Amino acid sequence: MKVLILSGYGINCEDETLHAFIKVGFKGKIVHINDLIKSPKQLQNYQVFAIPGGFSFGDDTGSGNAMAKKIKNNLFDYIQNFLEKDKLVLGICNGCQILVNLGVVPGLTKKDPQVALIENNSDIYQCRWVNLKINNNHTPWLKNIDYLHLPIAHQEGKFIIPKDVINEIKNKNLISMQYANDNGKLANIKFPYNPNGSELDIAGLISKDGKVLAMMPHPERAFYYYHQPNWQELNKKNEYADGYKIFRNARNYFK
Amino acid sequence: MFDISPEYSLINKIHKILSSPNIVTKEFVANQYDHEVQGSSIIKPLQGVGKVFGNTTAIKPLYDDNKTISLSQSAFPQYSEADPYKMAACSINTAVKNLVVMGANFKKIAILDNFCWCSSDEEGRLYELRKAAEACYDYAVHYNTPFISGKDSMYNDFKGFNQKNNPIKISIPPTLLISSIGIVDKINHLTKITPEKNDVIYVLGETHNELDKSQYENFFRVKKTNIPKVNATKSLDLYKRFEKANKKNLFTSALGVDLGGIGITLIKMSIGSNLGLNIIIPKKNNLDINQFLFSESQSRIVVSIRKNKENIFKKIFKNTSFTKIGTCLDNKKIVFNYSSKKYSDTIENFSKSYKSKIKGL
Repeated sequence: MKVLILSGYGINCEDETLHAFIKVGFKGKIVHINDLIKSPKQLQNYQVFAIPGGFSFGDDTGSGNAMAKKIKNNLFDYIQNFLEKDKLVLGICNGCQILVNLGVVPGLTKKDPQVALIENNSDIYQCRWVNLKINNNHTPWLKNIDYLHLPIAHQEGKFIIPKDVINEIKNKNLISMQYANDNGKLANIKFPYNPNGSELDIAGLISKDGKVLAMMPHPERAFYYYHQPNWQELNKKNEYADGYKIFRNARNYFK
Repeated sequence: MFDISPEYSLINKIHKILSSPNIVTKEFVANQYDHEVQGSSIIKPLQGVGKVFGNTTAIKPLYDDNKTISLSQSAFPQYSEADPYKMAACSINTAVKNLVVMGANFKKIAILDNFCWCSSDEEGRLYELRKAAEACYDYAVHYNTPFISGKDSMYNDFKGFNQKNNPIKISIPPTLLISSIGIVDKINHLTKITPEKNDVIYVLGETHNELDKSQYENFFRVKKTNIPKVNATKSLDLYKRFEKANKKNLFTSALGVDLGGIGITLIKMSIGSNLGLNIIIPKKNNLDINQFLFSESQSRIVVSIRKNKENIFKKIFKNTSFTKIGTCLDNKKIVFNYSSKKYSDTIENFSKSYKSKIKGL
């Protein structure tokens, strides 16, 4: 099992994302986007392609937009080829924005983005922990998970979706995670449970076949027990926190 | 300024101080920057279930190493013009103390200076600068905490004209910000600010009549008083004992006393844990209730310990100044007992004041 983690131009979460994959049993490598463009065939050697969080290209022209264009212009065929095989793709935060801009999620058509991520309702950057209701298990990434407590950190995390696309996304069950309140019920756009005003409280989407997960929250920042807020107060100390489950699921899929 | 009249009760005073800009939570700052970046934040800016804005945080930058790095800072510009030497001493002492309280190894603490001065071509200001620098030398050498870097800006002055076209000059008060960085050897040395049910609450360190330029004095009249003085020898001794006790995981919680004195520190701990406190204010050193609760004397730490650890606690802190002041209870109110009187309010109300918005933001 091997994971390729993308880096470069302001992506800044590659180390901890790789660490999370390695800890659950993957082998992996951080590859700069330019190196990947230079020898794109190396992608074939990996089972998982992950785009971590950060500020690629300074978020100029919209978060994830420039990096998505760079991928589209140089690597898109290879990514498509990768997706056609029995492989998994993960986009976290900026990686989620990139996948959305690539149109890979929800992946209803083969080109162009079908949904968009725009500025938070608060107009400012938000860094806080959120409750997530996990809706479907038809992606290997979220198998056997009902609920997650993870941190978010973004300024452009509000999903907006055209009406016809919403219906299709709902019908195909592509909304993978939604912001919830402390009782596990949907946040209903209520701040701070829904930190950005995202439509239908969407925090993450999957592709039609479930192989691609694009999520705004950071599972790699909630990997060990001590990543959780107030972990010192917890009676039962597991070694891992909620984010671990996502990486574990990827390992289990290939095992 | 308000009179200290019986009508302006202790609880109202606490609410007044708690909702003032220096004390209220800075949660809006914590939520606006990526304090989780690179997944290393383990003691976060917002602490406890009540989300108290902590004065010290910790990161764990290496996954396979048990060490963590703790960061804090301190500045007391309000003391500068009264006594720049004491001002600098307080900044260094508090920045170092915060790390000790978080669980840092005292031998592995370093500090940074950030001088923001004004009118540095004037004799008086240069004298203040010299006194502050002397304190930097004295305390850093005494504590063995090296200054590893720093910066300064010497002319924080505005010269212009007012509405009536008269020339004016506005200067900042001389300010020394000390930042501190320290290594916590083991993750289980890290302390938290939240006491647990049935814990006994102690104050470590001496409380003096030091209300001058305090948060209390911002609003209420005080009798003859002083600004805080740092006794480096006693402080060092206290910090070393604290470190020793903390390595035995003696404390269920600990928080350095900062602006607002013991009173505000206790309320933060209570909000953080959402557990009540029953506080019995001692009659010691001829301090009245306001002096005891709001004096900003340096080198004090509020700690909570389990009842069955009191003996070993007393052993470790033998011949130092410590005072038992109450217990942590599973109710939702804070009660201050003084003489035969009781003053109390709910955590919810205190929390509301603590989380009030700063005007203009």
